Amino acid sequence: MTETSATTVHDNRNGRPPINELELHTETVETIDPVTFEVIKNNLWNINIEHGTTLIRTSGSLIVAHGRDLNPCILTEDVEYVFAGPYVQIITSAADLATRWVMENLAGNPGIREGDMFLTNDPWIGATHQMDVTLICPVFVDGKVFCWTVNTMHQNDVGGVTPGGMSPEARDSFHEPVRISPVRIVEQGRLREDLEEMYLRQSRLPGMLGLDLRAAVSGNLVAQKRILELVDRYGAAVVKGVMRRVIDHAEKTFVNRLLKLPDGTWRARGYLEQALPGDRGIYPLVLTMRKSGSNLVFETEGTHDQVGCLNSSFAGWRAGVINAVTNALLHDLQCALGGPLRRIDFNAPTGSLCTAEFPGAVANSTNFVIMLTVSLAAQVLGKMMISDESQRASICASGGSSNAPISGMSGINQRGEPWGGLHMEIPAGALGGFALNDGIPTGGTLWSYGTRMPDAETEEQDRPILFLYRNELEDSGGAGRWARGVGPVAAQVTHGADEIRHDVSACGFAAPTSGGLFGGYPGAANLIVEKRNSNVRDLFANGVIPDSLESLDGDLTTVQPKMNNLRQGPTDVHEFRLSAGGGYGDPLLREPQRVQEDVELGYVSREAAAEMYGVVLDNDNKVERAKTDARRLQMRTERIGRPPPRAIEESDGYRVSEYLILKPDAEVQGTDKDDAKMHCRMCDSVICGITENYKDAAVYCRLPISAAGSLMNDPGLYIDAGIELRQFVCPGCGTLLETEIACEFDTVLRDIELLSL
Amino acid sequence: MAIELGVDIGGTFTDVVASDGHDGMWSAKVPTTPANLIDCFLDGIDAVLSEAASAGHADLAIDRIVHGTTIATNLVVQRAGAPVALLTTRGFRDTIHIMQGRGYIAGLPEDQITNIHLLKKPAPLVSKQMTGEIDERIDCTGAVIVKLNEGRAREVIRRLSSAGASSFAICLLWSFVNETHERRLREIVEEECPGAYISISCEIAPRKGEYARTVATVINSYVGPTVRDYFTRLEQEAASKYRSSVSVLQSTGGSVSTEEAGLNPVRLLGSGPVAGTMASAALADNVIAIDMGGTTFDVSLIVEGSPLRTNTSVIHQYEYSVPTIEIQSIGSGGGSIVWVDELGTSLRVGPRSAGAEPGPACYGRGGTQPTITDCNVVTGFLDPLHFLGGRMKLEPELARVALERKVASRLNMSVVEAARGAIRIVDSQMADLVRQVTIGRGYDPREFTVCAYGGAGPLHAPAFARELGVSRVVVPRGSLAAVWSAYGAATADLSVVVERSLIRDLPMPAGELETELHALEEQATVRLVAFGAAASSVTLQRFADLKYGMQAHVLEVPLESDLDAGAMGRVLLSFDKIYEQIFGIGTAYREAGVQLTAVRVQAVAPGTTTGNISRPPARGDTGPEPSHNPMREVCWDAARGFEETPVIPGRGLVAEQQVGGPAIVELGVTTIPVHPGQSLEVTSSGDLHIHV
Repeated sequence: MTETSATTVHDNRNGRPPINELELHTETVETIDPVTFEVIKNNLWNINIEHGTTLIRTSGSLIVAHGRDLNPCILTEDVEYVFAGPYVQIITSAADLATRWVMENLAGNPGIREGDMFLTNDPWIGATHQMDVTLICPVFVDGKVFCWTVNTMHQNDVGGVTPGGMSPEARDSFHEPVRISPVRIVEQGRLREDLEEMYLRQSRLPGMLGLDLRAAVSGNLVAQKRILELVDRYGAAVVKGVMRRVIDHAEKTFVNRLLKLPDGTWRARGYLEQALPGDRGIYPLVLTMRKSGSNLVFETEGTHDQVGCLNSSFAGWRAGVINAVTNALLHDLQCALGGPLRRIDFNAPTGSLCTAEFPGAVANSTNFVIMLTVSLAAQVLGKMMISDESQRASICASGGSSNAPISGMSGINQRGEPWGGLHMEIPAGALGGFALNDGIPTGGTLWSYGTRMPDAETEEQDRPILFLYRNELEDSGGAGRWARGVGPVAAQVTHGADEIRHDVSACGFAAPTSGGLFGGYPGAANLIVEKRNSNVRDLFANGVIPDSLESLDGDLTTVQPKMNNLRQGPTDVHEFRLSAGGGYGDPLLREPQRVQEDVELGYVSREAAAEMYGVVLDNDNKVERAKTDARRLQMRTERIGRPPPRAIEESDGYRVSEYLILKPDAEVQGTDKDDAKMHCRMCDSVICGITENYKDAAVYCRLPISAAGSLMNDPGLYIDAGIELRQFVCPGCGTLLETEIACEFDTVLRDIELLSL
Repeated sequence: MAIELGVDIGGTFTDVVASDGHDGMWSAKVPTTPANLIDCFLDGIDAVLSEAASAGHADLAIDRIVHGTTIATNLVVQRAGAPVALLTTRGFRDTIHIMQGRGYIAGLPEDQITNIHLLKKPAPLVSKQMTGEIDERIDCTGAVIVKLNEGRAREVIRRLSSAGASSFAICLLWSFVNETHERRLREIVEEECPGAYISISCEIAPRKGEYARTVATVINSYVGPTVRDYFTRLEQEAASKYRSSVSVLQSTGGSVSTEEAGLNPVRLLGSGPVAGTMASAALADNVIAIDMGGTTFDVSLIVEGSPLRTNTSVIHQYEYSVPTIEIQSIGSGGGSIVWVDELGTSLRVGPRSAGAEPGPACYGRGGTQPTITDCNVVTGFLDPLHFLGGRMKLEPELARVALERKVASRLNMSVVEAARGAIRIVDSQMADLVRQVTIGRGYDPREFTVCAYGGAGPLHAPAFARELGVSRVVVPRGSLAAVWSAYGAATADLSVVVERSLIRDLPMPAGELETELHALEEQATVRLVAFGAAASSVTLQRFADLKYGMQAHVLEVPLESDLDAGAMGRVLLSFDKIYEQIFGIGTAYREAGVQLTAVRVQAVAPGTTTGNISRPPARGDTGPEPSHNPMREVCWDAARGFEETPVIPGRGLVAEQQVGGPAIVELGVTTIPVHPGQSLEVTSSGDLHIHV
């Protein structure tokens, strides 16, 4: 693997050569019958699951126990992933980097021995951000390292100026939780109390941190014990042979899938906003993926330089990419990341938002750069995979919670104890539209498989809050041929405490982060907003529960995405909305019957049915066919500024996007694929040549972002630049080929650039 | 003579067991009549009575009938329940739709949840339109923050009623701490919609967590009207025909009156497999109970005579908070499909299943995918002529062809090698699940007896038991294994579990806890007495859910009776101990404090007037005739190929007989392979013990 960014990895060797005192158990049986292989493979998978279950059942925090913000993995002795767990993917995708650092730097001093475990949270070594604390356990056989079990859990508080660690005003990493380079916190089976004390001493919630440290130790102990039982039973060389073959198999499968796809370059762009409180800037994050044969390279060219509190270290950004690759290409391979990673390179010069140099502020990386990268990577992967029918089903528009708006809450709870935590609706994001199906309202996120939102009662038990409502938000899902990425909305008042402190660290208020795909619209933007000095307590006294901010009197108050020390008092209602899921495909091609269902199910309003989908419903919410047809034709006409010269009639061909197919050029009469032209799949109009940019040939409309849906926010409240919804439309039939969310000053993004077929 | 009956209505067959409490035991199997379940209920009883009569017992009086039923489960799975309306706190209309975000992965295997594009939320149990939001609010201490707005509540209820609601589920936030709003709301619904079926969450599932509590309450009202009517008619029929009352087996493993079961039908979900667990509890102190059929492999655990319970269950991806016997399942059954991955190098089994239609290739119903049943046929473990006691003929050639085409040719193996391999993989999957269920909770499987039943349980148990280091597998003797669940129902005790959410830091004053538990015990005893138990025969067990402060997950620990300050200290110690047993030495973290979240009482009384039914000694058994071919070719090990193996009909076995492996023992509906090195022994009660 080429990792340009490796130069920024913290190195304490002072130029000394790597210490090779660590003996590795490398013996491998190559020939294992398929049955034994399958049996041991299942055993290893189940061991890793048991590791995860142990963490969940013993953890002290809602973030781990409900948020499932954890992940264990098994690594070979030479640090390749065998299995990661089906929990939060991004969190485990840096475990290999951290483990390699331990191997290369600590083998001589203090040494790596049986029964040791190493703790780290250093983003320049191998953590997504400082709250994701990793515990690394070498598993020894015959005095040599046979493999590693590693777990990572998001911790509620490991220190730093802001409770929870994600500070909106961190100018550099010294404002953030302390970075702990790997320390040998468990020595030959004994937890070192001095190091534990040093670690817990950083935290506002040392009890919880101590409990989770024990959870992490027990998880590793369970996994280690089970692996050694397997070794006893089958022999180390056989178990290792299975590990290697799991990796080889995943690599081969990955390669086979890539070989079915065309070579080329795909790009996606998203935005982060407000580098620090008071800033009104917006900063692009561009992800480029180049595919050549059976290899992928991910690049950051075009991404803004590191700035304010918005950044990620290389380890975090890379984890976001790996997460999206797992969803798209490895979903049926049990998170066996090791093989595919042999085929993925990262070309990412340091100093960008995605590859910040020390000591850039990086504690916000997961909710900013990494989540956005998961969505952007899903888009580029989807655009590459569209040509192969067998891989199409897993293509999706951005999922919800594509940027988690963090409002770190803290204060004294109803029992007089200090408390801290985040809005826990984040896991109940939404899955946006898929290539062959609708997404899932409040169905989760693309960056975690098992994360759950805790019950309101669970939260109210330990937090001084009272929820007013927590529901699915109508019209929040991005419109599309496939849609329903409906996200949640929640509001709370204080309860049992005079005030709650909020440290807001968010993006995606001005520029929505959940992009649509192939003409789909973005999901609703993030939003935190307050009704201050409201009449909520009077309503309570009168037997009324307000179920929206509109039903309250008071001062509607904009909350900026970066805002430290916002104080919520007893009459202030705090509402929280999550970036919802994007749509897939042109909304005007959504079956009217489905739109009717959307309305019946409370996911889409009648107004949006007409505005976004061109579907006209009668008073009983039934589709009016003729009016719908007429309205859709009118909308197509508006898109291209004239009545569409061609009718919608699907044709077939080699797909290079949802609506673009390649066909041999009729005039040249050649069969050479380079002569092929891109045609509109919906009307067969010729759009452009294969190597040309279809966006240059499409009808280009620039609309204010408000055109993307009623739940977009006014960018002027947050940033200086304008945000646009750009449409690229087929001049023949008016089909929306692609949408783009862009800052008004940015050029059109070349998203598809084919090299060969 | 007085007899007791167990009636278990399954999807295909209805099983009935009759026992006189001494030597007399009869059983019958009749087809289930899905259109009217009462028909097969009565058919089955008539069949067992005529079985007894033909054995010379025509003068039997039925003392009680215990019924195990899947009616509630089926209503949920088939979405055939009543039009239900949900009343919930304003602002929480969508709780049951949001499903905690990804809560819909509940019950799905972990290696499937990464296929995010293939998963879906289940169809809603109640629509948003049929959900009424009520202005009221209680907080976590039980304080009323917003009084129940009765005027607005009435309007909401009228709207739902005119929209067709005949059944109401009421689940308000924090109702388990303060029940007044739910109870008042029930009165209002009764006034507005006389005769409506109503469930309130503080009675159905009084536990923290509005999602699982809402699901439990909604399911209760969804299935309630149909279940209640069914039981009413059943009681009438049983009274007029047999002059007997009926009690119903709940998923807690105990039986209750039909009236109680009709009020609490959510507690019937999953009671089918529970009956088998309860029957197994009589076999040994520590039992791993294994039920394997066509599509699933179910495991439950009995520790020191008591089945392990769980407080949250899953149906159709919905989690609901009701205490039940814990049954863990994986999708490994006879129908699990054997396949080769896309690289063409790995042999895989499941999780997809051929189900009953088209079923395994050897069923000859058009299935072309090889399954585990096909593997058992080609290796000689199953006799194609005597499948399910001869009820079905299998076609071994189709099994061979399917395995050859889809698996063996692609892996360069022989058909038999592929079949043996697939069986080994599925055995290992089962062993892994059992390992998780036992070792994962701090138990050593080697200290357990495996009890295997169901069509395919005995077929696989001797092999995977060996992998687990279990030394003994018990298969209930032939006639009983086939009707094991009905037997479990017939022998079920009367039992209720009552619980209350109580959130306190420990140690708390022993007096307060004692008062709470005492109240629950009285409540439980009163209910058992109402079912006909003698108050003096009721035994009570107490439990508490404990966790270290701030933990989200709890662990249930037993409590002593008559708690005093010393006992409180012992509770803490025993929690530390149980915790470390499961999660490892050094993981207990008392510094975080210990919190109690719920208390629970289980009351049990013998269901029979004669005490527990003793298991009668062995008599003639079912199964193929002794004239059946005495030898067949079986492949025990792919390396050794086929070996001539004795086939022993269960009918011919007598007490204390020993059978050395390799041998095949054919029972009525199942087959026991006695592997080389193993031996089978018939006990004096006629059970079959396989020494692994």
